[in-house]
Amino acid sequence: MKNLIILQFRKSLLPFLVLAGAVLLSVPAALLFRTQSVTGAEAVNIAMLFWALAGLPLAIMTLAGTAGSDAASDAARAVEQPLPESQYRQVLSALAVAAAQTALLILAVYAIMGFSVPMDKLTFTTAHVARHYAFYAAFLVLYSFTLSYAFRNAVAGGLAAAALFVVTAFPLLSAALFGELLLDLIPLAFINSLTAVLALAGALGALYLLCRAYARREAGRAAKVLLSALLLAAPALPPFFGLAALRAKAADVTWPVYPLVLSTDAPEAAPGVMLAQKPFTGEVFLIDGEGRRAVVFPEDSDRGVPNYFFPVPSFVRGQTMSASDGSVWVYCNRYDKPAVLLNGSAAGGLKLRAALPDSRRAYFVRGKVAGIVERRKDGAYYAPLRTGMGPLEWKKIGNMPAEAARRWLAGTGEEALLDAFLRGMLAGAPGVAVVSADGRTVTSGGEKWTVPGALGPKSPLVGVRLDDGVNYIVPAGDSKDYAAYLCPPGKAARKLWQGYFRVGSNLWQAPDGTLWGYNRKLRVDVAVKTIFGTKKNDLESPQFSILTRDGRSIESFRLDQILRDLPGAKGEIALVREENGALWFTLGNAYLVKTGTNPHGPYSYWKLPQSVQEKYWRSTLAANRDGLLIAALDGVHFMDWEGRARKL
Amino acid sequence: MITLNQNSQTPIYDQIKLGLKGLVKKGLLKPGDAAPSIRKMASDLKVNPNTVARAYRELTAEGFFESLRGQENIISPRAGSLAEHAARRVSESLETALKGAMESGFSWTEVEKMIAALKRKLL
Amino acid sequence: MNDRILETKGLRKAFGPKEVLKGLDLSAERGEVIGILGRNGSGKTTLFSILLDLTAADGGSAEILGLRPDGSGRLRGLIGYVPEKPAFHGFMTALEVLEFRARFFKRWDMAKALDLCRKLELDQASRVSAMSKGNLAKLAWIAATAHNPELLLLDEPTSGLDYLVRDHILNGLIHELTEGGKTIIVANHRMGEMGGILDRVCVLRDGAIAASHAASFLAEEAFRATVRLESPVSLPAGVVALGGGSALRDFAVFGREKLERLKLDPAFAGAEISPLSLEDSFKVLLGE
Repeated sequence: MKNLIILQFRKSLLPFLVLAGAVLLSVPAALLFRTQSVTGAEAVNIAMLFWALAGLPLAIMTLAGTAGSDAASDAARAVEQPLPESQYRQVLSALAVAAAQTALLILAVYAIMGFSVPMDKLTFTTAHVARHYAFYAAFLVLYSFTLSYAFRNAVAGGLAAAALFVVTAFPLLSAALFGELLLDLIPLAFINSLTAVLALAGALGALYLLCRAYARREAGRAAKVLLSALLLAAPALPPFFGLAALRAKAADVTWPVYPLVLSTDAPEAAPGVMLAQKPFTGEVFLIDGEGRRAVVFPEDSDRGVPNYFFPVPSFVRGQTMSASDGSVWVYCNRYDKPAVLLNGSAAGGLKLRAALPDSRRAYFVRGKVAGIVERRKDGAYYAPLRTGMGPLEWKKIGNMPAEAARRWLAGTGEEALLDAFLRGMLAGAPGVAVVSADGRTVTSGGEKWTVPGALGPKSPLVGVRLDDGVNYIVPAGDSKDYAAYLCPPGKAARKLWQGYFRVGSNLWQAPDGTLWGYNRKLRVDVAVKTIFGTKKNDLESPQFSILTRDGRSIESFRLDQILRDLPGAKGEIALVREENGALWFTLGNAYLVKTGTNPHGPYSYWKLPQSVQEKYWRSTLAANRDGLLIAALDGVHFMDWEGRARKL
Repeated sequence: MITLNQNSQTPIYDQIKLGLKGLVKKGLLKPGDAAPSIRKMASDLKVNPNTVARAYRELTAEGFFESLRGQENIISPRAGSLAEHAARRVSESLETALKGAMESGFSWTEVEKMIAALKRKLL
Repeated sequence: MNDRILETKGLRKAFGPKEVLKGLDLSAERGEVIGILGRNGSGKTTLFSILLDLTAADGGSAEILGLRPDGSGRLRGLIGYVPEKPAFHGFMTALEVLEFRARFFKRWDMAKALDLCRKLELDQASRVSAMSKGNLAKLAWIAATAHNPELLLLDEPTSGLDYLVRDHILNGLIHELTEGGKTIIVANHRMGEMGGILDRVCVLRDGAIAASHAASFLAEEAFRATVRLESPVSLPAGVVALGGGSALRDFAVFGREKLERLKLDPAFAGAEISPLSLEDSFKVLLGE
């Protein structure tokens, strides 16, 4: 067979050299014709990417297509078949040469790119193609050759191969999107491998059958051709069915709704409920620990045909805030619909209070009266949120500075937007303390505390309600030495912890009122056993400072051992409950851990069912007094403090 | 050298034998000459070499050919006399037959007619 | 080593609705020269294609040189094949063609190949794309015989060639026969010039071997009977009507016995008997 391969190389030498020459010539051409804004290296990379995504596929279809149609030609039958080599191996040798030439061209392009692909500069589609380039190229070679052999025509074969390629690649690409979101709903790796195997085996098998039907003129030709067609079409089936299965399961995927703006001074989310969304159906709802839900946006009735093949999740942004009468304010922003402001409860349903047509940046603010601030094109507007019906009274509070306007138009900016008006609003609110300009006193309502070196005269401090009333944690000190002071009601301020702590920044309140936070993370070495041997990882272990409702303080609490034992947990660690000396933590979106105050002592842990692996490690949990609401792959689950979980 | 009649009823190998014998009789081939190689004879006549080989085998068996000095198919000294023998035998048979005819009362013309008819029958 | 070089039993092949071979039985012993006589399109090339393991038979069996055609191409390495329209890669020279083939055949004799080039007056450096039909035939012949195969299959080896080239080919054939041990099967629609070389003639008609005669039988025992017939007669076996006028009729008679018996028939009493030429014999067999 070696001699046949050499012969085939010789026969197709000219077109191959022309293509190789074109690839090489595009390097000086790119350098010559680049624009000033692009460096030489970048220009060459762009040229090579053009080759990879457009030029090489055409080259493959040409090389493999002509090889296939030549192998089926009358000339081949007359000249080459009489040689003492089996007809199938003759065809395979032609295929092998086309494949080798393709590999050489790809290697040349890859080498010119410096053996690395600038993935970060590519779109999702092109990055996916780049990751699986070898498979897609092999598919195109095999199919162009086999179909050109079947049709005895390079053009027909190439076009048919391109069509089958698109039919197969499209659902694969679509399914890859789910992988991007870390949604492990179906065994995608299995489906991808199955597709690859079917494509490879199918093309070779089809070629074998076609050889027997055409070259050897065996009887039952129609049956063989039909079987070949089935073999060639088969690889399109796993991706297609996989995508259909993905779509079905994706409809249940539940995600929390994250706020548009991250601000340390934003009000906390309404307790006890989770604002959740189903990104693949468009449904947004409020759900409580009992499973009662109120609809914010209903499911999309019809997302259109393109969405069927390319199910794109749409994520909304939103915020909740509890009102003084116990109801919940909900703000929700959908990219293609006007934002909405609703009021109500999970049990009783939500009523629309206002549609906010111009809203891109709206958020709740505290104050004497809770309110909502909206950034519109022409400035910032404020409306107080009063319970009861009636339209909102909007008041313009400021023009949009040019810088902010540009950011607004560009759609960026999780910026902290606390300008003077807002701070002023906040300062007048109950439960908020203000630091004096000289940094010595902290005032709230009628109370006053002396805190030496208190920081943040411009930033009001939000208080925390403990058993004895509203307390304030005041950061104090200088760059060398920070401390956190506790200002309890009716008592003098006292130093609580070492280090900088600020509520909303690195200090939070659990649903049961326990105050916790950390300003240091220490590295912990973990040895992870894998089938290849032990691997050393390092984890970040926060050093917790905890203040219970009844005033007990625990400083420098670490979970090193637990983190070593549960190495799969990634993401933030949060304290969710304290009771009688037992502490409950959530580790990332993976585990609920119950431990005593002795971090080396016994502990219990429960795996959170089906929780979504959030790509940016944002929490997919909402804790309330009774347990955890978990946004999961198949809906919303609820787990109580003893690890008993149920689907809502 | 030899011409074959493809349409003749005489087998080809026989025609070859007769042809060679005729050449010796005419003195174109003398004893001691080598006969053409099987290949050359076959090529010239466009016949199967096996046919030529069979003719040569029979000629060797008849004593027409001999092997001399390591060479095969040499015209033997007896070849000439064999040919003459054959000619004499044919002549004697004819003479007997014709004499019989004359004695039976056939005229010469009738004998000639009979010969012509036989010629058509045999050839 | 088996002396039955080739044996086929009941070979069948159809292309779509058209049945080309319908139960073909053929056998060849070592050293035989067999001519397959058949009209254009009678299936000679299909038969060779099956023997060469290039086309799969629909039914029946074939065994050649102890092997069965199985698609592996092994048989093609043991058979010398001259196709009806020899074809080679146009960009190669004659020498390159021979060197290319040399790599495929274990028993290739390059010295013999070059010697044949010289004898056949084929320029080694001439390019295939520029070769005349005669030169292509020469190259095909050299390519087929240079690896000393035990079996040669020749498909119309001399048709369309001028006298000199034809002579070369026939001499080459005879040369191969002289070497000994070669079995040759020639398929032709005109057998004339090969008459003397053939051992046997098989007539391929209606997809099967309709008749098989020794060449010597056809040469020596084929007669033409010209007779004046007053009334129609029934013809015994071995006697074929050849045509003629209303009263004067020609008949072909195969076999001396049949001729003697025919002469006893009163209708054929005054028949004029003459030998039937080989060409005419072939014509009769084909047309029957």
